Amino acid sequence: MRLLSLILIFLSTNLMSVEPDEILDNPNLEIRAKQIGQQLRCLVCQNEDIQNSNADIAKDLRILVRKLLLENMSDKEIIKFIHSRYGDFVLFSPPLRIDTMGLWLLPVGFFLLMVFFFFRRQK
Amino acid sequence: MISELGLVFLFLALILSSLSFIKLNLGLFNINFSSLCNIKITNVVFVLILSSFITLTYSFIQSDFSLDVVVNNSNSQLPFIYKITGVWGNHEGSILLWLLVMTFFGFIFSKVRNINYQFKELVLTIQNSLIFLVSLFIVFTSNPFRKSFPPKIEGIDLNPLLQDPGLAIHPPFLYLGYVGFSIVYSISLALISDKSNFKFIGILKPWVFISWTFLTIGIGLGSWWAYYELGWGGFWFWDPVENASLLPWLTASTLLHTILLANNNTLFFKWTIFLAIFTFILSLLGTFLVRSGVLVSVHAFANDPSRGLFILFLLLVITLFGFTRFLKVLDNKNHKEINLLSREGVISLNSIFMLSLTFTILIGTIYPIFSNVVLNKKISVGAPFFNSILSPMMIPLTIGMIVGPFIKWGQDDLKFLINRIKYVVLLVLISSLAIWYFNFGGPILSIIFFILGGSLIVSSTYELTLFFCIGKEKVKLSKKILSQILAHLGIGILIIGVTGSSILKEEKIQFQSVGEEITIKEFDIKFLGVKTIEGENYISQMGLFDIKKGGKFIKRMMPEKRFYNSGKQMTTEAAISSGIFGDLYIALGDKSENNPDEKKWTTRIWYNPFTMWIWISVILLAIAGLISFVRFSQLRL
Amino acid sequence: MKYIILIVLLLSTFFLFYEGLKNDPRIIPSNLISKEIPRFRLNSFDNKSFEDNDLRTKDLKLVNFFASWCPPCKLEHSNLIELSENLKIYGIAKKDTIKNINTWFSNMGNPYTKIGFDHDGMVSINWGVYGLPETFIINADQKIIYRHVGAITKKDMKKIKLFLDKN
Repeated sequence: MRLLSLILIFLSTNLMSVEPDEILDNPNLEIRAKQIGQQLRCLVCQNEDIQNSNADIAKDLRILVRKLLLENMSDKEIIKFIHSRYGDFVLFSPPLRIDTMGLWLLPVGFFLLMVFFFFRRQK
Repeated sequence: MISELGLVFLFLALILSSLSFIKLNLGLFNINFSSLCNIKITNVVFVLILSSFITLTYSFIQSDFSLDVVVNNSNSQLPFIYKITGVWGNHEGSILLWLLVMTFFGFIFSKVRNINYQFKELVLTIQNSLIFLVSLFIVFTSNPFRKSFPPKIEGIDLNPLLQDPGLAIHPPFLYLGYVGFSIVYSISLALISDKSNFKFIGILKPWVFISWTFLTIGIGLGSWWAYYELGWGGFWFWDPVENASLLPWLTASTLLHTILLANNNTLFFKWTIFLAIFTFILSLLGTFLVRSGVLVSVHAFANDPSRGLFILFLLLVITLFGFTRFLKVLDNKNHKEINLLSREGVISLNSIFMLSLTFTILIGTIYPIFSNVVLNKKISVGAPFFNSILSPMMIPLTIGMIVGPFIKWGQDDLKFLINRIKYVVLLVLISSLAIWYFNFGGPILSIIFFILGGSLIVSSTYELTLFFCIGKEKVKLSKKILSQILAHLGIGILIIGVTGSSILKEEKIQFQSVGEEITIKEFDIKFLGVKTIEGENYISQMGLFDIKKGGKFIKRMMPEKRFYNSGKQMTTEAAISSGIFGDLYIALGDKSENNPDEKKWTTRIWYNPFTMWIWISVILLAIAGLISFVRFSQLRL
Repeated sequence: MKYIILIVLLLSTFFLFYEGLKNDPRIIPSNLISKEIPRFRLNSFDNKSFEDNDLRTKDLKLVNFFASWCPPCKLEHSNLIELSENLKIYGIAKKDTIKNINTWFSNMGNPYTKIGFDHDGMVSINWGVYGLPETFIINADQKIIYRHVGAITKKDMKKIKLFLDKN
């Protein structure tokens, strides 16, 4: 129960994520910042993205994302930058690789298998 | 003392239910233990567990700090209602509630009339065995009556986030859903234990519908609670525990379609039995994922690997038992052919899509475990992945829900079908164009989903009107059809609610000075300042906001930040103004440090379109489920 | 026949969960293992600086990310002092003030050969640091060969010493 309290404190203390002074003046850049933020995981929280978390590392990453946007980096480049330092865990959708293929292949395979069995017994 | 009694009752229930468990196992080896009356055991065990639960509740109310669980989850200053709900705001208490619901369902089942006595006995043998296994788990790894040592005089407190009316009702409804499927499991296994039992398939139906209804309400309440309590207007996060509740809901939704066709020994009979067994297994899997520490989750209880091991063992036993029994049913291979262009065909396709969706969410949820154990790599699978799967899946499912009700049973003819659906198609086209026109400029994804949801609403409404406009030979609007119309209508409304609330959400975050007005949509929001208020066990900083629309004052909204006396914890209570077209959602942040003379606070204002439609859809789905439940209970009595 | 496949699948899934129970899902492995240390340049005491070139030495060394406001850092401090007797430890203070660090050292001692001030946290990000404290072992080729997350306890000391001896 104590652990639950600890975990939920992360949520309850200052539930309020993005601070006004983080928000970029350029609305288009800010929208991009939000979209990128929703793909990045807060590394110390339980399943939150950096946009909605109040953890220190989340705030640091939010500021970093906006800083890199102001330096004219593309969305892909920014994500690659953060990915190279923190690894797969920071991405909410794993990169497409041999070892992560299963995530997409298994469901598709399952679907095809079901369709196959259904139409097979029609004969 | 009272709490000692609670443990005694628990032990007695364990011993009694073990008798059923022994009988079941002996029965597997064809040794008859027939003198045992399981119905009586069910009744006694229910009373025992109920009494045990009452003693636990009493201990919470009396703030009996000799119990560990009360120390960790309560406080003498806690408001009375939360002393009660705190009983299930922790692992030990909630799993006892789980057990209570399980004995309750057994108890109710034992009271149903017009069921073959031997069949009833068989079902309850299995149910009591499940109860035995869960009691074992509680007594050995999750004892709520464990004494605190050294004894304490005050408790830590119930987590402030859980001090909320939503907590009072979300878990009980959820458990009624999850655990309802335990009796569904037991009935299914009793059904297939002997060919002569196949004819009793109808007995399964009311239990499926009532459990599905409870599960729907439970999930809906959880979303609603997250929406207003967590302070940023999110209602679904694809968190492992949320997925764990969605999985049995999806298989149960598939089940309540196949069960309509499950007579005697059709293919749908087999599907029904499989899904009935699998839904309960998924409920258990959810319990495992949440309470074992194998996954990182917002909802995770205290991570205790020894508990996880026990639940895993339980899961294995129950899965193997169900699975091996099920394989017996697969023996019979004569089935009627299913035409693709028929109601049966559409329901089959629907099952394929729903189960693929279920499988995908399951894979997504446990892939991180697989990757870690087998590949030694830590990955995250979150919202982007699940959303990208769910979104395209909605298209075939929606088309199925629109066209399906118009397709005939057995075999349909394409020409006649087109003739039947020509008006629906026309209406759907018109409404889609209208939606596209009015939403032009919005993100393309929102347009697509509004069209999907809108089409479903239009087609369901059309179906409804058919029953009121047929003149003298009015076809009676049966419970069956009304239930289906309401359910699909509910899904359409849900799609619109979810789309509006997530994709079209508008946000304004700023430092707002006292007296400053912020405009969002058609509302002008004036910040009047912050005042301090004392609550029952907290101190609150309350922000005051006056809302104007078109210059006219509408209401005052008062979001709070509460600081709880006991643990120096803080929660944010957002202020929400709900309307049919959207919610105004205001949360108070911190006071600006920059200029202490200037009274500026961080304020977060959101407009969430159509959020209310989500809660309305849950109500509609629940009503639909209840209508079906009533229909199938009446059929047998 | 195909049912045996299903049962095997079922059992392997359970075995998977069983193994999954053993590890802590919250500890993240470093993405920089076997990679060269990131380039950096930080201010240090007395207008000096601490940069990556300072780490281009032929021995094993530690880089420890810490802060005076971080409670677990306090816990591991004495263990760091002990480690510093055998090898060089370099410290990077994340989001701290010079005053607080000086107080910290005068109260508890200074195990660091050199210190850098990471005021904006950018260097910490470049090292993939997500919490405090974190300790990296650097080898003779300036490659990161090990990262420890959290305070270094007596138990961790044994593990680290073993690792150091192996290299």
